[in-house]
Amino acid sequence: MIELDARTLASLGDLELVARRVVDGFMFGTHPSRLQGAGVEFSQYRSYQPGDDIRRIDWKLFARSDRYFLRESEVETSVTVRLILDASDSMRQEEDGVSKFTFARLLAASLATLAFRQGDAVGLTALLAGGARAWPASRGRLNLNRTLRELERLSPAGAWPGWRDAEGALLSGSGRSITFVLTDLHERSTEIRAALRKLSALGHDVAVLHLIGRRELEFDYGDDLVFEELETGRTLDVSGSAVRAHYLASLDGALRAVELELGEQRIEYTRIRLDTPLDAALRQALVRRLRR
Amino acid sequence: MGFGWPPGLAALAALLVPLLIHLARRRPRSPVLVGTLRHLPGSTAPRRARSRISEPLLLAVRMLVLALLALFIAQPFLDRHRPSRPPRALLVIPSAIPEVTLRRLLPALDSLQAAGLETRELPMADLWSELAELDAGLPPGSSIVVAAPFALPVTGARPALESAVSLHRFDWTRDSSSSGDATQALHVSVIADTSHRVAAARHVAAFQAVAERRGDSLVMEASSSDDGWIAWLSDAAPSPAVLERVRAGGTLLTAGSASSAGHEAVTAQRLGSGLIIEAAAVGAPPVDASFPELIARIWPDPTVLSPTEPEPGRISTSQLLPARVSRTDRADVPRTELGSVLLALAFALFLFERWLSHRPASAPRA
Repeated sequence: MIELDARTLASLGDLELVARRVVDGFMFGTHPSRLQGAGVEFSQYRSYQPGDDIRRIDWKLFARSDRYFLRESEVETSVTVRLILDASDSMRQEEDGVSKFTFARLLAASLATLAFRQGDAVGLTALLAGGARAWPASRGRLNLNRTLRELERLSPAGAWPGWRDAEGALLSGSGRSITFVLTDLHERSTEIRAALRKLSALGHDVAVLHLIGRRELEFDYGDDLVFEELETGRTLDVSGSAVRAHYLASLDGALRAVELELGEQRIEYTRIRLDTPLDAALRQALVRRLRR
Repeated sequence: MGFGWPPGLAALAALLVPLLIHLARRRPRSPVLVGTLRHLPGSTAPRRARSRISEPLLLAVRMLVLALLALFIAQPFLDRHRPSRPPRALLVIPSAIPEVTLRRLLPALDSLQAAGLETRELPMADLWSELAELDAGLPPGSSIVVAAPFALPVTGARPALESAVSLHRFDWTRDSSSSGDATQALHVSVIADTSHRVAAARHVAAFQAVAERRGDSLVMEASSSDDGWIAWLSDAAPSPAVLERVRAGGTLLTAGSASSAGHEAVTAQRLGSGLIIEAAAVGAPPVDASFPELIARIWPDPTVLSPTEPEPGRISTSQLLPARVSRTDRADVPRTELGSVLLALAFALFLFERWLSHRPASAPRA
């Protein structure tokens, strides 16, 4: 199986094509019955009522019982996939030519494509400077194309907005939904975790896809360094060897803390490294749901 | 300002080290763009990055610290004399000069003062210590001209002075109003054998010429006084009686062995308290012009020719000049050692450097 690394896929430029390839790669070897599209899974029978579409009558059952029954499927109970994309400046952080935002965009497109194939509705919310931009969830190819187009147009700006600015977009939509939050979890105080906490408290099924680079995880930056914080522009001269241990300890503590905190709130947390092939990343994002 | 150990200044070469490192590492570094600096240590954490000598201010401070340490090694000091004072030239005359003599010297002193020479009167009871005291108060490069009578009252070891000292003699005892005798008598005995009779007459004439030129009187006598002059014009050796007079303090002029060494040869040797001067010009017939010149040169102090240790109290001025030293070589020059000051300054700068290198690294960029 060919690894679909984000750098190669990003160079293709066509988000729809990329997403399709990722989803194809993801579907490869997956048991199809577990992820059949909505509407094919049996739910219940009900008696025919005048006005019902006669094409939905179960003729085999009619042959056995001589009565008209309509077969109802899961189509009406399908979920809405909401993609919340962290489009703050910190997502510009790059590793090996791939920024976190590019990776998040590809992963979001793949999730949207997968949801479309399953017949789920897909909604997109981008959080960036000045608040949130939301595109309401909808089904169909038209919506998928619109979602992919918006993803292509988005570029990071500013910081994750406060709850007041983002509340409207984050709480839009109703019904059963899965909310994927693609973020680097870099926050000025606790604005991201606060938003996640509130979403979870309001009954949303939230899955956080935490994007992090290998060098960021291992502090593989060399020795003679000037760091620049993307959102603030602050710079810091450091000696890599002098600060490495402190950095790794601090990062490890922060990761443990956030994982614990999200777990307590029943928020699914998945850490995805930027050097992970996209189909594998997609599998990581969905692995817990595949097991359900 | 001077240095106790000037080779220590070679340590200034250490300044090149941070400078070269700075130049070598001056290449611009592209920043690593990261999402957050939260996990990087704050101001309390060690930051070798600043010790990388990338900042000009840090570089300057570090070089200054090194320079101060290098200067410390060279053991700097400050003379208490203000180095800004210009050198001075002093004319030192004895304070014992009679008023009338001083009046006579006044035009000359005025002209010397006009030429930039300051006149200072010293008792000269202990010339060396007085000169040393005077020298200690003078700025470097000064000069002292001592114009003193013939007999300089010098005792003890010659001092080492920084100022250039020159000694000039003048005979102030000739002052008529003070001594009552306007002239100094030159007592001369010319002893000649028959073959030098003509020469004897010419020698007498030469002595007279010298005396006239100097304004002194000439006393010709058959038996000169003990400190008089005797011209021995004979091929024979001087008689024992003559030598005895010389031992008593007389001055014997004789051709002696110097006649074979040419007209210009003049030698002198001591005999008791007196002096035997052997000069080719003496007794050489005909007497040429060099004889009066010789007399003029050595009269009234023939000891200028004496290479031997002079008689106490009658010392040749050529042997008098104090040794000249630079002030830094003199242990007795009052100094202000700067070592501890430099060390303290270097330490303070080092603390400043530490603060600079560990100060909060960055402010938000505009």
